[in-house]
Amino acid sequence: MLTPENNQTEIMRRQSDYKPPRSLSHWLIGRPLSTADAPHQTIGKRVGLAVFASDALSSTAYATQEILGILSVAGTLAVSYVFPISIAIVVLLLIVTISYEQTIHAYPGGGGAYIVSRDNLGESYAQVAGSALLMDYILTVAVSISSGVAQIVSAYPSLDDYRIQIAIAAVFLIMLINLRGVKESGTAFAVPTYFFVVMMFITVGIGLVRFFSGSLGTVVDPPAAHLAETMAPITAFLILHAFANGTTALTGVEAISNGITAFKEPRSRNAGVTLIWMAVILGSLFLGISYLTSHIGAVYSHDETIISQMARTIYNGRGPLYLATMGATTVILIMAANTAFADFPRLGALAAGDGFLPRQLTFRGSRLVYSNGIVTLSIIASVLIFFFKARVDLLIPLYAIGVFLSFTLSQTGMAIRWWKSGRLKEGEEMAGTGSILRYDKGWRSKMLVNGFGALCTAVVMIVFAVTKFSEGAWIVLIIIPLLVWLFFTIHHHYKDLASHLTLDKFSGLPARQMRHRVIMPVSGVHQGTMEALRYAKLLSDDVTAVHVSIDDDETEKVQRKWKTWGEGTRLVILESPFRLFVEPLLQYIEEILDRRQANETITIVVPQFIPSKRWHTALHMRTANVLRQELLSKHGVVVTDVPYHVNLPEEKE
Amino acid sequence: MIDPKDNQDTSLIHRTAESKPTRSIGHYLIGRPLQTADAPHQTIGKGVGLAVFASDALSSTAYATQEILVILAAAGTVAFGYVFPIAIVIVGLLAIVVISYEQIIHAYPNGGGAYVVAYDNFGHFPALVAAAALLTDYILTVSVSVSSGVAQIVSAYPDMFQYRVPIAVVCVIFIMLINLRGVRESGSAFAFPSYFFIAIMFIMIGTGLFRMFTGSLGFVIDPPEMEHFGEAMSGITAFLLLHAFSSGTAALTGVEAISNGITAFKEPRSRNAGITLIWMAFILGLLFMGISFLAREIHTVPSEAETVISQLARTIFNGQGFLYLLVILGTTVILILAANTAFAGFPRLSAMLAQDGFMPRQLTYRGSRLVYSYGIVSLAGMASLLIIVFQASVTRLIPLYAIGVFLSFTLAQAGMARRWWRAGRLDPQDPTKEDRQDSRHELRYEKGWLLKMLSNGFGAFCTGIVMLVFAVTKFRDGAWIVLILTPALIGVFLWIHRHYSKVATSLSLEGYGEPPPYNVRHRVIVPLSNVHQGTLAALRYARMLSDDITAVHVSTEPEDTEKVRKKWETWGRGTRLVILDSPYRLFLEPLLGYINEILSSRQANETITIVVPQFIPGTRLHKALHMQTAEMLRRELLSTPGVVITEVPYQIH
Repeated sequence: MLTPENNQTEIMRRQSDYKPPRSLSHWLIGRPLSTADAPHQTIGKRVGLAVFASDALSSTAYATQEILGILSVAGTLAVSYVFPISIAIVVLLLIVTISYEQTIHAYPGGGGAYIVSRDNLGESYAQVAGSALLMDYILTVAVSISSGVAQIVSAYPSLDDYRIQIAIAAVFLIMLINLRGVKESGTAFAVPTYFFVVMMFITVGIGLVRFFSGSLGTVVDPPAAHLAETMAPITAFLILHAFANGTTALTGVEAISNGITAFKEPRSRNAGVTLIWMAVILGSLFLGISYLTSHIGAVYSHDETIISQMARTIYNGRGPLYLATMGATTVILIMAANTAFADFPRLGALAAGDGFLPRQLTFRGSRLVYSNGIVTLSIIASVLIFFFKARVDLLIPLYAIGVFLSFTLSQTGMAIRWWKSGRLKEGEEMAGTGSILRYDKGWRSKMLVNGFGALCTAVVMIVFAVTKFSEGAWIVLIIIPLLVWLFFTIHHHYKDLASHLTLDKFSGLPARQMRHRVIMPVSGVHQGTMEALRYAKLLSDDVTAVHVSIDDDETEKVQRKWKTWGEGTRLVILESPFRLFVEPLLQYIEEILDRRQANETITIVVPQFIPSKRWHTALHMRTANVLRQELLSKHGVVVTDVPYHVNLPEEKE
Repeated sequence: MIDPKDNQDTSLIHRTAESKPTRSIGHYLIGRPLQTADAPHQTIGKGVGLAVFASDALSSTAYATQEILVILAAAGTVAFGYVFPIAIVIVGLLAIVVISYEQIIHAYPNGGGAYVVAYDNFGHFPALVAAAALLTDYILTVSVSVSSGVAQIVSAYPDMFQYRVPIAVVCVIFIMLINLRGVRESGSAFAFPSYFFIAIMFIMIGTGLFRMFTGSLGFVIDPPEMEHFGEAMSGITAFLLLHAFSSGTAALTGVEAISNGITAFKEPRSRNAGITLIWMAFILGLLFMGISFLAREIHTVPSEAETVISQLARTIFNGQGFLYLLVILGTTVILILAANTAFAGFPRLSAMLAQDGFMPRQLTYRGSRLVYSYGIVSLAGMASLLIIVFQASVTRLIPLYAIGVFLSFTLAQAGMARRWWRAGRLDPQDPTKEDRQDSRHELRYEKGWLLKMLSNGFGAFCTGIVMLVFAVTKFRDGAWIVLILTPALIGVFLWIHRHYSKVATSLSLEGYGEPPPYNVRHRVIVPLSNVHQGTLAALRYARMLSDDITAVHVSTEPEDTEKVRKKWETWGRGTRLVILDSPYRLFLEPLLGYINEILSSRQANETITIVVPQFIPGTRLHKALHMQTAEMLRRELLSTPGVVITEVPYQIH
């Protein structure tokens, strides 16, 4: 079994043939995967599109409506601005996409805004981006699930009482599927995503054909439009507000850049191609919907969505195609949560790897996904759903600010990167924290594009923060700084620990210790005590047994037995007038510690009674455990547990 | 500090720990801790003893007469004439029971009442029956008396009705806290209301008798509507009288309390306890007879709407004046205080059972105020649970009550009868004690043994019949629960006893013989996840133990392993390092598998120690930032026989 691996005999390597036993979790999430299987647990472009694009694509279901909602304040005349605003948004989408495409190639390890900020703006900006994104992923799960449940509830109103339970059950279902690994969850969720894309293209395509052939009318029976009481004029701010609301179409674009590691090699290329596909689908769907909306006279209403008005106009009523379109829309809204499940654990693991989040998040579970991150995301999202009672309108204001904050940071970071690259000479290279920087010919125009993108996204973010401030956006403005502070507190702890434990400039521990004192608490004299005594004598000749006297009769017995069985070992009896056990013992040990010499080691040998059944523990005092907890926090004391197992006669067999 | 001259034997050192419990919230609630040496001062005299132990018994005068009338009402008002004769018979029974307990108190001065008597004369099984019955009864006493007190409060302030369960639980916790302060303080706190009740009752009866003999006492004005149950008027049958008699014996509940709590009295304990018992019996008998006599004279009727006491008081005091209010107030308070008797009896009895190994040993531990704190808290916990389950409803709890008391009466009486019989078998000339090994108490020849035996035997017979009548008549109302609960409790007692005695035999040093020779070979295994100052300290410690050291690293991430290997070459000092590849990223299982492999090939004289480097986080937040693998490893290893676990802690400050 043991094979000396190299000439130095002192290091041996062996393969543990241990396989996890079959258990309930196998049935739920599949058999465990070996670390060597990791390359097989990656996804191609097509599945990747389904996993990472569902969040972005789902936004086409509501982005046009959001624009219309703002413009309707200025009356139906303003509706003609919908299409121009959409074009502006698509241009912004183009800038953001190009920037992320470059990010993907520059940082193939994934991490998007977090890594870009860390590399170009510094650690605190990276943490701001990280906390904004993590918070947004949590909100994505809560919002998308809640909106999906809202759709179900509007179809079956009797389920309204169980809204929260259904939403939480849905979160846990998506969690379980994601715990099965990215490959399986991708395959499972690919069908609904592609179904949505196909349905939308069919709807938009037929709509355009009918429009240009002149057979498309306007919305029959439009729902009652929600209009403000006083008609507002068309101001620049109104247009800006409508624009900002429409940029919700961009949420989810950052997803691929965070999840590059999920792709098959060549990772960056695959991820980049997927990103471009996604942008093209998103842009064309969004433009098509906006164009048709403004020409069929759809109105903003709480009663019927724009998609529904459009679909029933195009399909001449509520036929099967209409129903398919609506079904696909509902499903994609729920699927958007899956994108967050793909990204949150990866980003969490990245931040944990840098020491800003608990290290446990870097642990890959039995199916090679960051299980702790997935479970954390579902729990926090469930808590949010529970507190906001699965109501979308309460959750929405919190949403999207984080995404635009991360957009702004990553755009700014890229602009700075181009600027830095312009400082370099041709052919020169500079190593950044996460990538290598080379001179780029077109650095100036690229810098300008990214700079402009940063400006646009920043303006959108500010508009969001201002207009939604009183509806709940203020919560975000409190939570992000809090999260950043928490990340740095965690980071400080890890750094502190590492600097205490580092072996750099460590001169080695003092020479071998000469004196070894052993202290052994004794509550009664029996076979378990004898075992511990024997072990203590193996350690050292200087053994002191300590008995804390609470009951005089008991002490008398211990003394008598010790004379017979103590093998001449010193026994100290501590009278405890207040019937305390742990405190007098600790005080005694502390006294010895105070007088300890430099080359002395002190070991406490604790006889530990181990009941054979768990419920037997209730029948025994747990003082040994309490004592151990207290002792471990003392500096320079080693605690040894000598367990004694009671083999009860019937259990021996 | 350590003075070896304390005794001749140098291997024994005696010292008194100075550590005093630190000030805490507990001090504020229950007072400063008491030394064990203070125990003699924590006893009570006859005056306070009467208040503590008699309140349960005396409170029964508040309802015993009414219980008789309720049964007799089935045969119409004519039957009410039997109230006084029945009361006289009950007082006769009271005399027998009291005489018998008086003898018990002198024969068994360490308390324990029915349990000890049964143990000594019948063996452990009947003793456990008595104990189970008594413990159940104490819990019920607390629930019933607090619930009935709360019912009185609620009938005065009906809008408190919805809070009756919280109020009752708060009362229980309040009484618990006062009892945790020690028997002395609780006795003084509760003495005033008890004596107040006694005084006001004597005043009422005295006035009543005086007015009756002077002829100025009339009948009840406006008697409440009589309670009718059983549609057809039944005749005055023997069974009816028997039933009324047994209902009236509710007056006897609580008489056993003093015999259980002898240890609470000042020395000479038995004498003090005995005198207190006789006082109590006198007061109880007089009050009961007085009330019963007057109740018949003034033609009170049993009713749900108004108690007999209330009818008496307003007839005697001519309406609902000041004295009437004092009587009602005193009655209410004494009903709640009856719970205090149970708080004095339960912990002592359970400590005694725990001492004999029938209940968890923790119950023998005396808390900071020298009372059996665990027993008091358990009683409060279980009583609160009962109150919550039964919604503080007295009528639902009452049927469960009183069977247990009479079961314990019967066993105590029968035990005493057997004791006299045994005493009669002894040689009158030989004053030495009986030669019986299992008896813990001495027994001498007694002259009047035959008479005493007969009186106790008759007492046993009467209480036995009362118990049967209770069990039959109240069976369907819930007495069946007691008939299930008592055997179940006995089962638990026996199971606990079996566990303790098995552990004791398997740990016993009797016949242990020569301890095995000292181990020759000592193998040490050091699991490490990383090489840093903390693990090097563990390694140094391991080197002190033995020369045969194996460091084990479980490889879950190849990069980490590479780092460990590199550092080991610098810092490992030639110690053997085994790297266990764990393809499924498990940590514990491969390590345990390796250790088990070594264990299975271990020789007889070999000891195996696992030295675990253990990081001790300073705060709770820090704990969350570290994997608790060392902790889990320890837990697993403790249940593996044959290994010793040593924890070498490292902290940062």
